[in-house]
Amino acid sequence: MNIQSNQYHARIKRNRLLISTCGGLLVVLAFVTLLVGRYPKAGFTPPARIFNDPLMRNIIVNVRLPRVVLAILAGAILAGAGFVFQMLFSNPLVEPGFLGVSQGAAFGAALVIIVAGYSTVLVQISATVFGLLALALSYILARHFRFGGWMLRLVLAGIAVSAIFSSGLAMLKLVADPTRDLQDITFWMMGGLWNSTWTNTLSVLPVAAVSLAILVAYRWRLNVLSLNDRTAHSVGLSPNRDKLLLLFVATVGTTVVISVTGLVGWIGLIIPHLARRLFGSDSRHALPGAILMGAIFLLLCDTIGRTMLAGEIPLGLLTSIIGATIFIIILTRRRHGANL
Amino acid sequence: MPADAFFMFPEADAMILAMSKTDQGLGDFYNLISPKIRDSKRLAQNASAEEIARYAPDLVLLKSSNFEGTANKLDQLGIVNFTMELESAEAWNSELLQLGKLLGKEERAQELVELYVKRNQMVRERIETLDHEKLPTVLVLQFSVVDGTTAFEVCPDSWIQTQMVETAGGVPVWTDSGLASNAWSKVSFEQIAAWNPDFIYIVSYKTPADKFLEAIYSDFTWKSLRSTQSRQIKAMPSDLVSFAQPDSRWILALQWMAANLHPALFPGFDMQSEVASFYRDFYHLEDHLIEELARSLQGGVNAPAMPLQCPCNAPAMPLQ
Amino acid sequence: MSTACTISGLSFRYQNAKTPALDSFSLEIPKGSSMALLGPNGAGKSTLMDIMLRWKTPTDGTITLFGHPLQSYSRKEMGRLVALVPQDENSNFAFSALDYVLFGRAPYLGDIAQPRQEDIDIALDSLRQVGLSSFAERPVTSLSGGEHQLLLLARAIAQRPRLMLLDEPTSALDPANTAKVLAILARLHDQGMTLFFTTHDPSMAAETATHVAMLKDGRLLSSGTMQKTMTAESLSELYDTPMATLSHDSKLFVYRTASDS
Repeated sequence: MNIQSNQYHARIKRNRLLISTCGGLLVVLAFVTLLVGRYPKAGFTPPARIFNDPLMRNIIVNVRLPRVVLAILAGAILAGAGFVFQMLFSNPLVEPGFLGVSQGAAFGAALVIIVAGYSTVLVQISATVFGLLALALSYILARHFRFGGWMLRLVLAGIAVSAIFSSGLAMLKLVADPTRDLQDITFWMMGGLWNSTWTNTLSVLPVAAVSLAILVAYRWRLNVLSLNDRTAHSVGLSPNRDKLLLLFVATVGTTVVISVTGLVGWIGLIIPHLARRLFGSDSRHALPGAILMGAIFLLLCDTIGRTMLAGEIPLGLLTSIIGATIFIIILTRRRHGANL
Repeated sequence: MPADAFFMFPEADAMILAMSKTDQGLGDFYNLISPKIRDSKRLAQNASAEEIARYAPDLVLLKSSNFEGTANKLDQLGIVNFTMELESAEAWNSELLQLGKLLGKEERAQELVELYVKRNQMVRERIETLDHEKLPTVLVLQFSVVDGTTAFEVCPDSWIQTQMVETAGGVPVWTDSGLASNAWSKVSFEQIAAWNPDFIYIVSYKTPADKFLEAIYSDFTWKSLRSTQSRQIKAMPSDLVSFAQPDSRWILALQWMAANLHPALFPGFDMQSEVASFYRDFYHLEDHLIEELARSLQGGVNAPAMPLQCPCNAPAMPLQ
Repeated sequence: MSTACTISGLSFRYQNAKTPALDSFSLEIPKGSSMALLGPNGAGKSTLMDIMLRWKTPTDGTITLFGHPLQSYSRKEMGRLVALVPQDENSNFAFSALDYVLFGRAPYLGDIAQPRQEDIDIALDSLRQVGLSSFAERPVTSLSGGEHQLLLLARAIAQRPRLMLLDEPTSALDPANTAKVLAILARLHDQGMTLFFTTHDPSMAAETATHVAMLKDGRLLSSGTMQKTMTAESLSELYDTPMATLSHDSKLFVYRTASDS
């Protein structure tokens, strides 16, 4: 038995080390990307310049830093929520975007802007309400569909609900008074961090951070909740209560961030898979790993998007291209028997 | 815009018209030319060929960027249509002549072209005297407020705003940057700081550009820019709509910009009188109407803004 | 207190069902017994287990568990007292066998707690008890049917329950794996655990159980010790088909006799 115990502890240790490495990498990247941008020239500028150039300091602190923080936060919560959704629905093929949460959030935010003008608090609340609504709708629809197994039904229901809210958003565009503020749908559907400032970054930081903290606290429980409900019940859990709580927390964290960044897709689907490949399926390590990897991924994508060309490349575009490519690679390479 | 071009022909008043809504600024001024317009129904901006055909028009004018597909369909329906590009001085000249031919008013068209050429020439002659190695750098920046977010945008190299800067004796900083060639591209503040132009002209098509100036001059991050320090960030002139677009008043924006970039070459430049003479020559507007328009003139001149008719009340978004 | 579980007057009806799944069902499960619940397909065996787990609520009747009403226990206490070995279970995630067994320690951990060394030791021991020690770091998705069943058993053992409910524990297994499972059950029984399992195979029940209960049409047909209850008459009535029993080598065999011969 000692051999197995040692093996187990070796695995735990290795995973902990990996998490620390990811965390360290994130910190290093955060510093490096602060020195990357379009000023004074495209690309990396050595830190020495900070001392001579007040505009450089200004740009780093007021333009880049809030954006880097937001990118890290958004990447973390999107990947974390995606991971949690996958565990709770026992379905490695879902993410908040697939179940209409992101589209509902975008719709809710846009609706408030039309009706009441732009107010940070109202937009976040509306995004959250409609995100939760979309989630509930996907779940209810999946229960009622009469086609295929649970996995398939959930994905189908999610597609339907996503479509409803996406077209709802497009309709808002059409009927909204074009002279008011709602003209450009691409922000919501493609996402972007160009509008990040300390104000809106700090406005989402508390909720997103608390949401992440709660999800990470439950990281071992998530494993048990991924089993069927009766089994979870038999080992002393209240699966309905726990699942509702975690779904709520994950959704709120996601929608609040989306209300500021627009819809950034694919992270919630891809990163959890990558994390499981790296850390194994135990969410004790895979969840924190996914959160860190999501932050790194989004930080890199956004840095590319704001540096490569004079004009901003939409963030959703980058995450889709890079994300979809990785997705294809993952799916075409199977490890023995293991699903994900 | 094609409609502006059209209304420069006095006979426009007598013709039966259907026009699309204007979604910019404070609306359009066609009501001043012809009271009939005020009461006529407006088409949606993206009206289909079928919808247009309902009005059985003798001639349909379209702006190239939006309606190529519609133009093809109108051809199929046998409706005479003319797609106008209007993205350069040359285009205005040649397309006005063509429009004149279609309306059977070639003389008037010739007259209009000469009016444009005269104003354009006046600018060019003086600019030519400058040393082309030492021209100031210029950025034309659109502030676009959408979905509660503020974005800075620059236009493609081929658009009229770029040409305006070059003609006015400036060097546009955003050309050759690999930006989109058919739409405004977002740029970050960093990029603006990297360019650090001598002059910045703010354009805003829906909210009055003046409102952004207050926010810019009081913003901490903008203070380090050269143009902020020399107080050379200004709003492009506009009255009901901004002059900085393929609108008949582009020439006014050009004149104003040249005078602003090289004041020594244009002593005694009076924007208000240039605007007044423009409306008189090009549109034969009566003086009292011109006065009304002058009151809503913003940007180039420090005139208090009093909107004529305000179908929109877009609140100005402060820079965050 | 000599009964592990006392069920009295239990009734349960599914929505839109014409007949009740359980109809005034009463049963006493003696402490430390190994009781088989026999019944034809659809007799209500799984429903009974769900109710004993407090996963479903009966429309009528009461259950007492180790001397206290079922409702009086908290979720965690239930988890520490009663363990379930389900008939089958699929995981979409490739947990390691050891991690999977660790799930059985959930009743001893708080909402946001992580497994401790003692939990790991118990899980490893449970794996050893079912002979899966070498599988500890293997992903569960790579296990065969028989190994999977043993794994579920290990998880239930890790719960350290006093009552173990098993839903058709050997129905999908080949003779070799069946033997393994029965051996483990026998060992657990020797250690004093109360076992309650459903099966549609009376021979298997006869081989391993000390007590038997017969459930037909939602009602208790008969119950008691194996010797007294497992008779040809009861079996024939239970399955509506002629059955007979045969004693050989102090083992009881059950078989169908030819009908109408």
